[in-house]
Amino acid sequence: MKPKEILRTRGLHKHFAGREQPAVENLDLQLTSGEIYALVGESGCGKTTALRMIAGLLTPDKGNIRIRDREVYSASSMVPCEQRKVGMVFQNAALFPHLSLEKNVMFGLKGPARAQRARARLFLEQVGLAELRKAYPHELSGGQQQRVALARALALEPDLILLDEPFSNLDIRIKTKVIEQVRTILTQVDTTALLVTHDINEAYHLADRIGVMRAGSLIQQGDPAELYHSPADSYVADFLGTANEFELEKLQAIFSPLPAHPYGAVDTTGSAAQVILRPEDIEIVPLSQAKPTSEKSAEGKIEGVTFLGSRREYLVKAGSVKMRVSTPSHYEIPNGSWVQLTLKPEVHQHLLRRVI
Amino acid sequence: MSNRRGWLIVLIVLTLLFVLPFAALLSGVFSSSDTWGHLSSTVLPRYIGSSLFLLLFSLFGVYSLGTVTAWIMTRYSFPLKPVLEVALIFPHAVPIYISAFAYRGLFNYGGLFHPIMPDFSGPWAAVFLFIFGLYTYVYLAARAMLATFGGQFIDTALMLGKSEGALFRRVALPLMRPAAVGGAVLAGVEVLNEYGALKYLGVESFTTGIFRAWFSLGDITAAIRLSLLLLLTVGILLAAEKLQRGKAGFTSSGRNPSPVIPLKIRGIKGTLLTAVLLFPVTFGFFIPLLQLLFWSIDASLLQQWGKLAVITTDTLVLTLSASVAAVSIALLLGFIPLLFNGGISGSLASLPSLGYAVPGAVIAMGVMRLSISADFTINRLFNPLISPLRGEPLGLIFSGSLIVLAGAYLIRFIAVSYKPIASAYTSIGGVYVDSAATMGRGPIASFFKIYLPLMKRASLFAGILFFLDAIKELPLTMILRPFNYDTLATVTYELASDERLKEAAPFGLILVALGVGVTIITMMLSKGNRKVTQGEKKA
Amino acid sequence: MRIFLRLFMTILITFTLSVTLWAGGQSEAGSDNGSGNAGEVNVYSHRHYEIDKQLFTEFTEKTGIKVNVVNADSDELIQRLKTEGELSPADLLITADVARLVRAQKDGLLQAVDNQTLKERIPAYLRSPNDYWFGMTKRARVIVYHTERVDTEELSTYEELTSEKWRNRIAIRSSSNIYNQSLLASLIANLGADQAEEWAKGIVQNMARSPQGNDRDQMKAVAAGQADIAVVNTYYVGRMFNSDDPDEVEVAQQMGVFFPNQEGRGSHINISGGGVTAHAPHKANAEKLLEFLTSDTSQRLFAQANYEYPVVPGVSEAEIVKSWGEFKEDRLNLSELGKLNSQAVRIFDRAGWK
Repeated sequence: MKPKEILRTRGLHKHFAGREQPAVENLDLQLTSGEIYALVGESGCGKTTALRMIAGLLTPDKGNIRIRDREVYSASSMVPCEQRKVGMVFQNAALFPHLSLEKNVMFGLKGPARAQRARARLFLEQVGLAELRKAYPHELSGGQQQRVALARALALEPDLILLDEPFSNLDIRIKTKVIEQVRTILTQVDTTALLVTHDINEAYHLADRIGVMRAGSLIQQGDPAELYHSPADSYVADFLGTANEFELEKLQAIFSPLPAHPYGAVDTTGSAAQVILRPEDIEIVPLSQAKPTSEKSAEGKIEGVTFLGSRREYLVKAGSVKMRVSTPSHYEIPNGSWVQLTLKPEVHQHLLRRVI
Repeated sequence: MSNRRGWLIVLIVLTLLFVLPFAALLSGVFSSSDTWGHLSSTVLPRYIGSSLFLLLFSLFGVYSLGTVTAWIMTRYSFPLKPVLEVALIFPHAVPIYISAFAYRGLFNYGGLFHPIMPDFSGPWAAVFLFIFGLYTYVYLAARAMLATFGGQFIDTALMLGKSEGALFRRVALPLMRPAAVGGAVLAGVEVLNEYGALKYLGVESFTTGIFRAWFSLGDITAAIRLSLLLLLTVGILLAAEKLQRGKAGFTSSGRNPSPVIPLKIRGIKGTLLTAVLLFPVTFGFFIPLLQLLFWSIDASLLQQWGKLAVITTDTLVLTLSASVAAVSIALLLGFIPLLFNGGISGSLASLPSLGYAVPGAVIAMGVMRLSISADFTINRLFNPLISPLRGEPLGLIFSGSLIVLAGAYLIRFIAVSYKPIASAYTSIGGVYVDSAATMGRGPIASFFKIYLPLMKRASLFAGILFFLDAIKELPLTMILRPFNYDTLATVTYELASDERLKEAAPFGLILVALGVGVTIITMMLSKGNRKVTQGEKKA
Repeated sequence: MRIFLRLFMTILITFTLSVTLWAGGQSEAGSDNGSGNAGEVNVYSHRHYEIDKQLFTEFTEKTGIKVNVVNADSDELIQRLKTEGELSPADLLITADVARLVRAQKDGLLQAVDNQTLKERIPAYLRSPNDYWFGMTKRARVIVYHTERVDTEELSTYEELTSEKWRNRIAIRSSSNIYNQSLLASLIANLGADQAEEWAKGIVQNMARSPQGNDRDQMKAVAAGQADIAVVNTYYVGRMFNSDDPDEVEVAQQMGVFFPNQEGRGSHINISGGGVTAHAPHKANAEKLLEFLTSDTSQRLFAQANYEYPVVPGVSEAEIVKSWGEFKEDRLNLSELGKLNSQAVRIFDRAGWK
């Protein structure tokens, strides 16, 4: 069975008065049932604007939005926010400060008070905060507040949950834990969610699919690994993690002798083709321990070492290029050493996907 | 958002209601005036000169007294400080026209001070009253600024070995300046707005000029032109304030609060400080109060008991209803911009606050013109229908009604209640509107269920401040009040200007007592506020 | 949002309707003239004396007609009548000075009243020649002097007050005061505008202090030694003499009353009086009230309680007033004072009389 489509936007466009560039340009998004999608980008790239248009908090200039089977925005019609059946979690949780957690969750509910209370309790249990239901928001930690905000949004059984940078104000120490909890909850209730964040790590932890926005446009979307390993351009490559960028020709010069390459040195537009290599794509060995000759190896000298906890990252100069290469952190090569660099076999196999 | 257009319309309608009286005034400015030439060649220069004199000297005094008291109260701790904390604000509760007649009684024939100085009148007397009646504007603003942000600067200067005098001149004064100038501008508006006291002391000013042109010469156009000149003066004052604020070295925005820890002063020096601060309280509050008390006892309060009760009740009913209306409108005005992320709606919402810079007499003229033309229109439209049924035409509906009087109070003082409410809205932010919307609840629900409960304290505060200003209002009330209707302010002024000082005293006394009571409540509220929020944090 | 708009409109409409009905109900209560009830009469009055209130109450008791009063400056009341136009609820305008009555008449705010009772009771020079307004009480603007510092021999006429010997000795109130305006108007009428302006300038030179306070205050200044003579209305002297306040009595006891210009045209007099408004909804009631106020009883009360001179001949004055003796009045037609009023104001402004 084909998965059900929950959100679809077509040609979504917003240009704020007095700005040179449109905030969102021709945005097409599609989310299927149960999917968690992260829209990432630097601040000001238009991701929050897009989210607010989907929520109905902002009117688009052009385009249309469809949620489940209903057109909620088009040139001719507009369903107001409060009728769109979307739930939203805000950056600061936006819990009503004068209401208890229970009352906060009950705020949007309809029907008899008892039923509302029972439902509030159910969802507070879901996020693991049922015992605190009589407490007030200011008595909670940031992570707890976000979980209540999620419970509050979920209690309305929305078709779609929108998460607007919900983790950005959390302490880095607890952030990952909170994200995991949220992910568990979202999966349990099988909700479709759209996350907006500037932090790619949040997206990795939470999302099934990631879309990268820049200057109002969606540049690339796909599953996280695909984006990481085959970025569409150097911007996406940088955004998703540390990236070494080479001209294909130079790469061939360093890793000589490379077998006759089937890819061509020039891309379709005629400019020099670029290759993205991640630090972990390259095998690094001290020259002293190097195997006599490998087909695809190069020599280089370490010019800097950074200890990153789980990894160690080396800045290596090989011929005319510099690159970052990483190893597990217990593996140590002293600064200034000469090293042998080798492309890992799986990288070599799929080098084509790394060409941008 | 297109679905919030209704709210924008409400906002525009509200703003228009506030601006219309001024439009009504402006429409009269180009009519012909047969006395304008005469006025501008004879008395106008005198009015301008006199008003400038009053402004210059009063503001100099208000600024000096306000900043010095603010400095002493912030920097030092000394005997009786908790008492002075409250008492220093009391002069704000004494209308200038009331202290004018109290002082005049003291210096008049048979008065206590008569042997020392036989006369209390003229511009210097007015300046004296303005300084001791209006310094609170500067004191409150400057003190808040210094107490909140002064600590780090004072500590730094102390480490650099500066003396106390140098601390005041080189650290405190510049730090207080933007706030103090803001307060002084408000005091300046009050000076220009004063009517009763000046008439009583025989001092000419713009406002007396407006009344003279309108009433003595019967020339409304000349009166309107004079009011616009007055508005221009106020405008210049405001612009000057904006300008200095822009250039000011110290601004509160983007600065971390750093409270001042007071230095304990004991012994003779401490007593001396207490004595210094007792000066403004004595001149601005205790002397007029005691004189009023003395007269009231003399006039055997009981004789007028009935009249006193009726007028006090009338005044309270009118002023309280106006306060409630002011708070409601301010709540609405402040809320709507949240729906639109500020922008043009924010500017629209703050437009009605301009009325605070407009003298009462000017507003009264605008409101009167407007209500009369509304009445004529209604009569023209509905009389053919209604006259046959009622047997007589509708007649005046708005003009001379309490609703219009209350409306005029709103136009004059809405800024006073809008300010605390708007800043409370700003600190809460608009996110709850969006948040409620995503839960299927529209702006109405978020207004009533979220914002209103959160605004309780700010609303109460706003209502009290409005009440305090409205209850003292004189010129506007004199012009717009209905048949057989008096407020404490008008009775006091009328009796006093008829030299029936003793009869006037009990009314003035009640007015002052109400003001003092409300001031104390406000103080307790803002103290309690601090405690409550701290308590909440702890829990 | 539509719901909200609808709510807003409903509130607005309800509000307007209830105001309309309320206002309607109010005048309904007062418009029962035809159905047996005596109804009401609306008075715009400058006179804010206790005795007036007392007389209004008596009038209501006697006739059943309710009296509604707005007290304010006559100038203010006239402006109000003007703006209200045909919608004005006022029936009767009462001022403390003839000039204001004339101005109201000139502005078309009064109507002529052909009332025989009034005409018979009030002497012709104390009412409008064409029946627009009627005097209710009479007052003289006289010179008071400190009995120890000034000899009556030194005093003679208003004109003489500008002579050198009074330099810094005169207390007189502001030019915005209507009594002073009428006094100057009488001088314009009798002496011509040029001499009147000279007179105003001369007085400004001789003032002991810049004008302030009311007539009572001028006498206090004399008692306090700031000035030696003052120009005041007679009833102020009477009121201070009989005041509850011992200080005021003490002041009055030091004052002597001098009627100027007895050798010539007589002392300047003025009236306080009333006229029926042009659009009076209760014209008959207004006339009844005027008649009542000129009855012997009312006239006696005005004279006794307020120390004014009655306008009706034969009604006796208060004791203190009698003690000042008879005097010769300037019989200039009072309507002249009104006509010359705005000229008087301009002369004051030019003379620098504050």
